[in-house]
Amino acid sequence: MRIQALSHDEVFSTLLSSPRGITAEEAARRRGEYGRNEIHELHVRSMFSRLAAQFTHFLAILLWLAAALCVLSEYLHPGEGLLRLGLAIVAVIFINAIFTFIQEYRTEKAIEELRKMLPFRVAVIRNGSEMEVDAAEIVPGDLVLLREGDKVPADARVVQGCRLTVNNALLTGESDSRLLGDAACEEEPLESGNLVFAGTLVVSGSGRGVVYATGMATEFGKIAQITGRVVEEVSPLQMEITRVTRIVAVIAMAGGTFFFLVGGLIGRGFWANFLFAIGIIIANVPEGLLPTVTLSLALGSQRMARRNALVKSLNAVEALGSVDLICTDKTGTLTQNSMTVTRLWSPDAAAMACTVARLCNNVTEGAQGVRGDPTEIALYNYAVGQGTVTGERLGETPFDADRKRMATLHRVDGKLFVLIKGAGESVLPLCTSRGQGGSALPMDSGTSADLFERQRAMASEGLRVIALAFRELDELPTGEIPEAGLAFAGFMGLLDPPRPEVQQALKSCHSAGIKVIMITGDAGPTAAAVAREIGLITGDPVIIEGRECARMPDQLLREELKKENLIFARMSPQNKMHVVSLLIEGGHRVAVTGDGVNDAPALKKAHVGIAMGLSGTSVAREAADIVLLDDNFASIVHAIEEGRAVFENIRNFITYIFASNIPELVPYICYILFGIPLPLTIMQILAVDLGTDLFPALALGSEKPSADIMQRPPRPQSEHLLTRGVLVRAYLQLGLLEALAGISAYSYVLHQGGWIWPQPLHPASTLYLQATTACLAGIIATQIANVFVCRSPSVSIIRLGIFSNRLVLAGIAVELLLAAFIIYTPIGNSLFACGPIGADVWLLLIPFAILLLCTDEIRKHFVKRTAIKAPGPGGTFLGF
Amino acid sequence: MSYRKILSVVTEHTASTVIARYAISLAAAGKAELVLYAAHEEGSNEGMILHNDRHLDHLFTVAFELDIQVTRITEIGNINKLLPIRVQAEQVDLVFYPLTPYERYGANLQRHSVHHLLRCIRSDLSIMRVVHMAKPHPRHILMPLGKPVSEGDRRLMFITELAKSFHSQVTLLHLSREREAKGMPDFITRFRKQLEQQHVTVLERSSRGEIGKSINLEAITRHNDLIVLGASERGVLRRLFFGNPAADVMQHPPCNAILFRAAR
Repeated sequence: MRIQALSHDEVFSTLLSSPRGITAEEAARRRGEYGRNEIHELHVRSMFSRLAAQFTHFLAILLWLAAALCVLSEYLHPGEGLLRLGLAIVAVIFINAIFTFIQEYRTEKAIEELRKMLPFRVAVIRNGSEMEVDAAEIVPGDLVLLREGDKVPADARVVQGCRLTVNNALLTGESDSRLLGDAACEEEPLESGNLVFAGTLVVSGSGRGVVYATGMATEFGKIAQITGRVVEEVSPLQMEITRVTRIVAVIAMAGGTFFFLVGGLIGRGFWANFLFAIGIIIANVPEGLLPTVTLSLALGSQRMARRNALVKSLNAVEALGSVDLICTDKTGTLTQNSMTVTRLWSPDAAAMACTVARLCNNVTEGAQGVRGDPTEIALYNYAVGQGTVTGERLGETPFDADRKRMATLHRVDGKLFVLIKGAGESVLPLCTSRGQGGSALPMDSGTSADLFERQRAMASEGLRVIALAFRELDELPTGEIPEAGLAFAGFMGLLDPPRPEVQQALKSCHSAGIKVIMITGDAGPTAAAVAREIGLITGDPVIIEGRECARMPDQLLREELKKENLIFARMSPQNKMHVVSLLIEGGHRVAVTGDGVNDAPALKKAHVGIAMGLSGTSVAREAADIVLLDDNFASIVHAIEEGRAVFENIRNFITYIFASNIPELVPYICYILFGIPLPLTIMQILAVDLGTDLFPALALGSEKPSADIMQRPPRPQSEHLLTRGVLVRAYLQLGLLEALAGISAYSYVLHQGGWIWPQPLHPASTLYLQATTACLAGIIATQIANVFVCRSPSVSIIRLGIFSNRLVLAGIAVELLLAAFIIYTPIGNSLFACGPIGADVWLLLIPFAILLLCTDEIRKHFVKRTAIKAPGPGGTFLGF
Repeated sequence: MSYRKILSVVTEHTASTVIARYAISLAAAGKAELVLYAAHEEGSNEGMILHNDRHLDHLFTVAFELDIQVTRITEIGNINKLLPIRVQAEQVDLVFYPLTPYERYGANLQRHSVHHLLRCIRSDLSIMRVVHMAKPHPRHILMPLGKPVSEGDRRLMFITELAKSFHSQVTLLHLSREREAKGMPDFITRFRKQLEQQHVTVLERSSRGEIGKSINLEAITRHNDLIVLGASERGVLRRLFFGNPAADVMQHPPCNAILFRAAR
């Protein structure tokens, strides 16, 4: 026996309460036992621990290590400026940590929004007297009073009800109200006719209920629990960045150790060798990677916002680009959510049907137009368009989800009428006659079957069908409005037209290899009709309804999920959450749309949760990663396109950033192997990594999506950001050419200055400063060519157009300004241990830049030829 | 085989009345004897004793009306010492113990009664955290199954008795990844068969990820009324490094939860 199935006495006995309520002392005692009636977060991580996490992830630890090595080197070898480098690296860690922390903090307010939805003061009966208490003071066993307009403070069993109608939309997503009574029933809690739930609204009537659950134990609290407890899937980008960082760490440590050992073998001193190893490690750590990725995602989110997708979590930008499955709502997302009556079928003249539609209706007409339920607005507008009817309303039985009909008592032209509208299966069994040629003909089973068949036919066209009926009375009824013996007036078919851009968006999804599954609360035939019209399904639909889904074993449901033309109808948010979990377990990268409070768990669970900005609740918006400003499915597809471009761009600027690691490394190798003065200081490495490289890299992050980006299948989960191809291209092709340029410029300046090997050079001598500056200039000059090269791994710069990304040009301009500052100003010289170089050095470097451009153009040419010969998903060895 | 004598600890907390109702239902279904037991510390305040007595009166009446052979015992002293002796003296097969709001299973260093009773009581012990007063008869019972446990048969008997008494459906939640790869171990196959032989409807689900969170999510999304967990078999070091999922669930369960420890 559950609370809804118990008699009143049993309810009071089970909850240790009585019709006089509990005493204030007992309430205090129970509050100590069950806690306050509040929504709170479980297992809350403190602000401090969340902030601390930003300083202790893998890349941060790597950067801390680099900074520590700098400080150690400064201690061992003062005057090299390594302390400044160490401090700069620490600054990078702090900027990143604080930026990411703010982003995360902004997204975790869903629970706070839920808390706002409970009432503040509530009327209760304690010890036989009515009193008003804080909603948070309510305890199990309290007898609460429910009145029109009240928000329900806790889950309660109704023990007294007078036309008590509540709206459970908060929990069920259904906008229809329910008429509750106090009789025992056996249904599931959310479907039972005698339970009220915390956070829901009393639409009309009044009643009393005994509270049986408070706070986090309520159905509403469970949404908060689930929202807080759902483990958000780690975004693909987060995984990739971690992987890249680990690879970089291994390369840096292996390189440092290797050259430390080599130095030892050729007889260099321990400390000199140690310093050298630190240099190798620092040269390999891409200090600028984190800020560049973060800023690139921020730029991506700005572009998405311009396309009506507001990004709340930066990682969602790229995650959206990797999704291969979208679970979407129907109403408002695929359709316009603007119901219109497109069909009226009546056995007689349509006048009576329009009268019922016009008068048995609760819309209000004001200065802002007609307001109310979308279905009722559509019926009203249609009826008004057919002519004006007026009547005096004498009574009403409100619509409720169980009865699926609404009844009013009206006086029209001096006659009394019962007017009823509702679902066919609810209204038709009450009809005993139908109008024909001005007279009422009795209905037999054949006529009734015909009407049901006509209703089914209209529904299969994607129409929402409303049945209309009436009865003329001789005198005013004394009790309830009589609903038997009705005369059938007609069916009105309402259509929620699909959004015009959805069809094209679905085609884009299809060509981009993204599967779309409709998960709706609507009936199966209506959903199937809409799906067919917009091209979501092509053959016979596979419709799985919520109840069926709940009963289905996981294994069977997994099999069903593999089928094409799949539609989930009459789904509850819990069903939706289950389907999303199975899809994620099945290896899909899933985006889910939602608008209700109860959609919050699924939105958090999905790789990308997408909330509706116009129709969505604040809880859904807070739980989601992306908010659609126009509720339009097409905007999701645009955002996916941007997301894919972001991944491609991040890979491009990783190639760009990694390429400069080799010319930073090679000088150290030359220094130890050939005994030449160190061609590049650690501060100069920093000038490249955190200075000159940063702006062109950011500009690469703003590259427009390639034309064929939505023609390719989703990136396989096995495909990484950093592939062997990317490393080979960055390190062995682009990097080596840059190193050649740097060393050549360095040698040229030394040679011009009359230096002879193995003559030592003082670190403060002008020749040495100019020589290292020439090496730095070599890296900067070739990186300028590299930024053009890295705009695409496979498309020629000539095809892309040199001026097609103006931000790249701006990035280069900033890079040159920074270079000028470092090389030609006294402050720059002193900060980075540089000396001004002549125009001849720059002229010497131009051929290297051109060489880099040309070699990569040749590579791209071969990549293209290989791709044409052997088309297939993923990148080639040379291309990526 | 079913339980012959069941003891339910009744305290001043309303949660103890919920757990006692479970005991009453089990006793009624299995024609078992029932002992309603309360122990007051010396010097307990009068209001608390009065409350406890009210609960005992109420539950005694409920049990009596169901024709259950019921005994009511009240003792003065420390429950940690008295209850194990009483359980042995009365030859009780199953003890129901309600966690007080301040007790935390798994927090061994805090010296709560629950840990003492887990060590000292020899019969089957069912420790319950009540978060919901309105579910005296659970219709959907969730039974998480991690790695195979040695006490399988006793758990099976307990679950079967519960499910039969309340005509409940039992959901077996598989939490082990190995199980997906290697198939069901014998213990679970036997478990499921025996439940089905007793006409208990069995559903099977699987879940991955953090165990405590998975159990709670399943309970919420599937509207389970009761979670039945096995007592943790992890040693101190394993708990320290890998946590104690049973303790996590028992601390903040989304519905009422029972932690079952088989007789020793």
